[in-house]
Amino acid sequence: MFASAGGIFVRDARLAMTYRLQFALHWIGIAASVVALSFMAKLVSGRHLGIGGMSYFDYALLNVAFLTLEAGALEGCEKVIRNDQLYGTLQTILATPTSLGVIALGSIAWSFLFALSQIACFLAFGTMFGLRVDRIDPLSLGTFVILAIAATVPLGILSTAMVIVFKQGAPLQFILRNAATILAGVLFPIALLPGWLQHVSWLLPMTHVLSGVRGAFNGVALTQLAPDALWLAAVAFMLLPVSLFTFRLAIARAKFDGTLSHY
Amino acid sequence: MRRADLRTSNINDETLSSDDSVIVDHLTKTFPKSHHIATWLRHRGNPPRFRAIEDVSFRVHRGELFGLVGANGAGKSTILQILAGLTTPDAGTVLVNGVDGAAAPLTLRKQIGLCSAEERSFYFRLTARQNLEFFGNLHGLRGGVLRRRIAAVTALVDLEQSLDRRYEAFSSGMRQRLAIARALLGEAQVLLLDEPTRAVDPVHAAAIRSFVRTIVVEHGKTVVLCTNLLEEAWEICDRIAIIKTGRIVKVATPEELIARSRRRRYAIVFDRCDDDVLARARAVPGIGTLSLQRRHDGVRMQVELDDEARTLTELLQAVSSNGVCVSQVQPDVMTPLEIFSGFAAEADDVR
Repeated sequence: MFASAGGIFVRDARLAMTYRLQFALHWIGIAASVVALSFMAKLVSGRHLGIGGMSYFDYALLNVAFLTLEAGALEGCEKVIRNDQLYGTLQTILATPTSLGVIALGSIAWSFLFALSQIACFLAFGTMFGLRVDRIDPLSLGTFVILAIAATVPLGILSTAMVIVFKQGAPLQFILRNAATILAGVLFPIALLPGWLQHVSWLLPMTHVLSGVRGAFNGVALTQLAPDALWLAAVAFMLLPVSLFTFRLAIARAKFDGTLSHY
Repeated sequence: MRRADLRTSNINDETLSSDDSVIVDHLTKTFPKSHHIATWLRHRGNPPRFRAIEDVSFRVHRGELFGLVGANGAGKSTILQILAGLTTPDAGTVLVNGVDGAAAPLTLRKQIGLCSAEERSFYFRLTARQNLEFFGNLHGLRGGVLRRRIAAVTALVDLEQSLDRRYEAFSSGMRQRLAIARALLGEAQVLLLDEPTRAVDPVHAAAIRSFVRTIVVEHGKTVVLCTNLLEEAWEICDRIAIIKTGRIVKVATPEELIARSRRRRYAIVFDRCDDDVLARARAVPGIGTLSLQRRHDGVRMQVELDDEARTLTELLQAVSSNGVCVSQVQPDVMTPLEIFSGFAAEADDVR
């Protein structure tokens, strides 16, 4: 199992490295985003927004940075499987004695490592522009990073199941990514949303991930962040088996209809 | 063989004790005629389907090179896909080395090595070594064991010098050889080869055929070869299954196919031929395709006829009347294509 998952991770890393310009542009893009946020922050005062004593720059930068975890989850597996459909390698992979669960989870591993390195890059650039990292609660931060991965992986696997069946960019990914950008409090606090939208926002995993991460950077102890952490743990616990089962069903459907090699 | 593996099978213990590596039993597969969402909605998720293969049964012995031969769309690849566990049959059972693919799919996949006809089944931007490392990992190999397996299989297909070149720089022949190397990586006992010489030049195709024969004879592998090149199957396969429109028409050795072919072809040379002679020849019962070639020494008639002495006698009587002089009668060798066409036509007659 470890050889298979490790092999998928190494393959994805090697493929990513072959597109060197695209790889380099990721980091340049992050630097550009940090600079843009620092200028935007000059226009906005955090005090008026009620964002818990944080500067707007810190608030927006942390949210944008940690939103990449969701992108990693949603794009990771779906993009890898979609590419395997297009490359023509999916059938050969599924003809090997590797279980579907390992294929699905292994396909996400590289994108999460890449997302974590992007976050590190955001934070490194951010500190140059005044991001405060002196109050971080490491236990809270570590816990929320793990819970963010655990809660978003199932969404990525569900999105991949849709790609297996429908052979095109998953609508689930589109909905979740845009919903998170607007409703999870990325660029403005949830308190500014109308009441009913705040309830919708509460349902999104990224709302709780970003809330927890901001708390961790503000030095808030894990016990105080427990509601968000428990919510994420519950989502992960419930959705992971459901998503793996759905993925299995999607593959079974494609095998029955003979569409495994279609793209 | 686990009991659980038998639960969907009609195959009994006596059958399993035989020396068959692959058992295909009453396999039937249909596919939807359309995958369009509108069709699905119109038919409430159950669109009309077409039959790709119907009631297909055959057995492949251990260490045998078994050919599936048929025209494009005959159903060869569907059978191979089902054997590889990539397509689920509507009905029927597949046992590979005693493992039922429906009951134990992962165990089944350990038994088989799939060599896809698709050149696109590798990562173009990775080297051959990196590709093999990846697929080796999926077979549970790693570290020194994997390195040794890669060295061994690439030496077999004569690619060890090209391992660190990107796959995109490989020629079609090299790509096919790499696909065979990948199929051998997991040390599977049964290899499924889907048109391994497709898009390969004649020299490399001959080398691949020779290599496939070698892995059967010297390494004891069981090979199911799917091809639409009849000469290829004739040259290397121990037995051949002729498939037409999803049904197996005949399973036999190449020699048996020639012997069992109901039709014979003869070349008959006579001094002259007119419409009357031709009409009398065509009127003989059991006469098939007939063609004439005018030559300096007379007329050469090439004719296919039933494998009955009476038909040849009647034909000779018919053409030699009215003073026509027959100077030569020779049996003509039938090509694999002609034998294949004969069996396919017989299948049509039966239907």
